[in-house]
Amino acid sequence: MIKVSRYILILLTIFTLSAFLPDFFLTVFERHVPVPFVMYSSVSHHFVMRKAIDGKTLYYDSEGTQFNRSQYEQQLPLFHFRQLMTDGLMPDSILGKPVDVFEINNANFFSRITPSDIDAPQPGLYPLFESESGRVALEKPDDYFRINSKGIQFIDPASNGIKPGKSELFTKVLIDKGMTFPAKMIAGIPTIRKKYDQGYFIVDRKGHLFHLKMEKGLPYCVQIPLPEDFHILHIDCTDFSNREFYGYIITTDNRVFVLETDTYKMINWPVKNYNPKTDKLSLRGNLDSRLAIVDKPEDVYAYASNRQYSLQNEFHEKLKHNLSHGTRIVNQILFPFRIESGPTTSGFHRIMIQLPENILFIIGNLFFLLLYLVIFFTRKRKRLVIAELAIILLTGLYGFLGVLLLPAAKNNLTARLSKDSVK
Amino acid sequence: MLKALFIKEWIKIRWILIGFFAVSLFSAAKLLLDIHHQIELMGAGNLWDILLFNNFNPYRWMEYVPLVTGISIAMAQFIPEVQHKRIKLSFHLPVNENRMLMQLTLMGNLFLLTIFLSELVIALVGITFVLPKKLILDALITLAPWFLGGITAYHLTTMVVFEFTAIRRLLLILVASAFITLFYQSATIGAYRPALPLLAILTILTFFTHLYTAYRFRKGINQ
Repeated sequence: MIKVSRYILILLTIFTLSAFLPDFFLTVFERHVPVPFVMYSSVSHHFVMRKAIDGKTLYYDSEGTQFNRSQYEQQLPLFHFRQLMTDGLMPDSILGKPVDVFEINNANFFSRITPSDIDAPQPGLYPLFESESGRVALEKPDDYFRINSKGIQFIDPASNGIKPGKSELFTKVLIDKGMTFPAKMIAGIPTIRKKYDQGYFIVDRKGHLFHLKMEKGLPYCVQIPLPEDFHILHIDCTDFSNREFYGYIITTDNRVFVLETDTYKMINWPVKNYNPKTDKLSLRGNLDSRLAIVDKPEDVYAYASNRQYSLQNEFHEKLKHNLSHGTRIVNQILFPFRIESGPTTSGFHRIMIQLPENILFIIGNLFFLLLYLVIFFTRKRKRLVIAELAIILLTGLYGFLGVLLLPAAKNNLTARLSKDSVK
Repeated sequence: MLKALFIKEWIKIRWILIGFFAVSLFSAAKLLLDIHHQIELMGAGNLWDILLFNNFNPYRWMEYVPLVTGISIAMAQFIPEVQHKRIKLSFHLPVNENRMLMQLTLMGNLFLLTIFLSELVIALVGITFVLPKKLILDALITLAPWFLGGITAYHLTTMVVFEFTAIRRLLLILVASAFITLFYQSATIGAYRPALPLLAILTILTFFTHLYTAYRFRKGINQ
C-alpha cells in the first residue's frame, strides 16, 4: 500500500512537472516572431507585406521590391483609400473605372476564423430575430430557441417555459422541409449588433443543411442542396454590406466555401495547406480580388484569387521559430513530453499530452538515468529498484526529480541519503 | 470502531465544520440572490443573453470557497494529530495503520461531501426555476472543477501535514499547489467539460497520497 501511495505521488509529481516546467522554459526563452501582414495589390497584382523588425517597419512585395510607407499604401488603394485621398495620392480611376469611394468601402470585407471559433462550447439557445420587421434596427425577441429531438422549442425566459403554439408551428414547417431532429450545428449571428438578419444555418442529425429565419412572425425554411461527400465542420455567418454571401462553410476535409446569397450556391474559395484544428484563417475581399491567409506557427501562406474565386497567385513565407536554435534543442532534450492544460487551440479547456517532435529526448532521459545511477552509487545505497529506473528512462527530468523528491520509504539510511541529495 | 472514530473526528473539528457549512450555505444563497437581483434589474431575457453570449459568469466568486474549505478541514483534522505525535496513539490500536489512515480521510471526505453537495444542490436547484436546462448544465460544468479541486486540496494538504522534514515539505507544497492550479485555470462557462473525467481520476488518485508521508512519519524517517 505504501509503495502504491508512493508511486501515485511520483505520478502526480511527474504530471505536475510536465505541465509546468516546459511552460517556465518557454516563458524564459520565447522570443518575438515577426509575422508579416500580407495583402494583395490591386495595382501590381503581387503580394505586398508589412513587417515590424526591431522596432522598424519593413514594406516589401513578393518580388523583393522594398517600399516606403507611402509607396506601400499606393500599392493598396482599395485598402488605404482614406489616407491616399488625404495625401492627394488617390488615382482617379481603379480597374478601369472612376473611383467611387462608397463602392470601394462597400466591397471591402474581412473575416478571421480561429481554431477556438470552431472547437468551442456552443450556446445551445439562440434568439430568432424578426428579419422583416419594417424597423430600421433589429430588435431582440422575447424568447430563445433550441432544437432537440422533439423539434424546435421556443422558451420564454420570463416563465422559463416552452411556448407551445410557436414551437409547434415552426417544428411542423421544419419537418415538412425534411429536417431530422436534433440539430448537430446551429450557426448565426445571435446579436442585434449586426447590419441585417439572415437567421440561422442548421445542420440536422443526417448532416443536411437548412436555412431558417423568421419573416413577419412566420417561419422561412429551405433545405440547401449539398454537393457529394460534403461534410460540414464549421459555419461562420457574416453580415457584410455587399450581401454577396451568407457566410463561410469549412468542410471536414479542410476546404473553404462561401454560401452565395439567394442562390444558395456553394463556391469553393481556393485555400491550400489549411488545417482548421491548428491554423488561423483570414479572409479578405475587395473590388478587385479575394485573399486567404493561413497562419501556421512557423509558416504564412497566402492565396489570391479573383472575385470569381479562381486562384491567381500564391505566397509562402517561413517564419522564425519562437525559440532560438540552441534553446530549441535544449528544450527537446530536457522535456520528453509535456502536458498542455488550457484552451490552447480550442475554446474548450483540455488537458492533453503533447508527445515529442523528435527523438532528442532520449539523450536527456539517458542523461538523467545516468545521473541518478551516479547519485545512487556515490551514496552507497543498497537496493536498485527497476521500477524507478524505468520511470526515469521513460519520463526523463520529471521522473528523476519525482524519484529524488519521494524516495522509497523502506530503509532509514536510503531515505536520509536521498534527502541530502535533494538539498 | 468506525462509529467511535467518527465521533472522535466530529468532536475534534465540529466547530470548523459548522463554520464552513455556514459559509457554503451562504455562498449558495448569495448566488441565488445575485441571480434574482439581476433578473429584477435587467429582466430574465437579458440575463439569459449575457449568460449565453457575453460570457457573464455569476459563479466566479464561488471559485475558491471549496479550496479554502478543503485545506482548512485537512489542517484542522491532522495538524493536532501530528503535534506531539498524538496520532501514534491511534496506531497502537489493533487496526491496520493504513486502514486507519484511510478511515480518517474517509471521515473528512464525508464531512467535505456533505458541505459541498448541500452547496451545489441548493445553488443548482435554486437556479432551475429561472434558467433553462442548458445553463444549469453549464453551471455544473463550471463549478465541478472547483469542487474537485477542494477535495484534491484536502488530500494533498493531509499529505503535506504528515511530512515533517522542512525542505521536503516545502517541495511537496510547491508541487501540490502547482497541481491544484490545474483545477482553477480561468475558463469560459462550460469550457472545462473535456477535462473533467481526467480531473476526477486525478482527484481519486490523491486519496492515497497521505499513506506514504504518514508511513515516513510513523517510522520517524529523517527525524
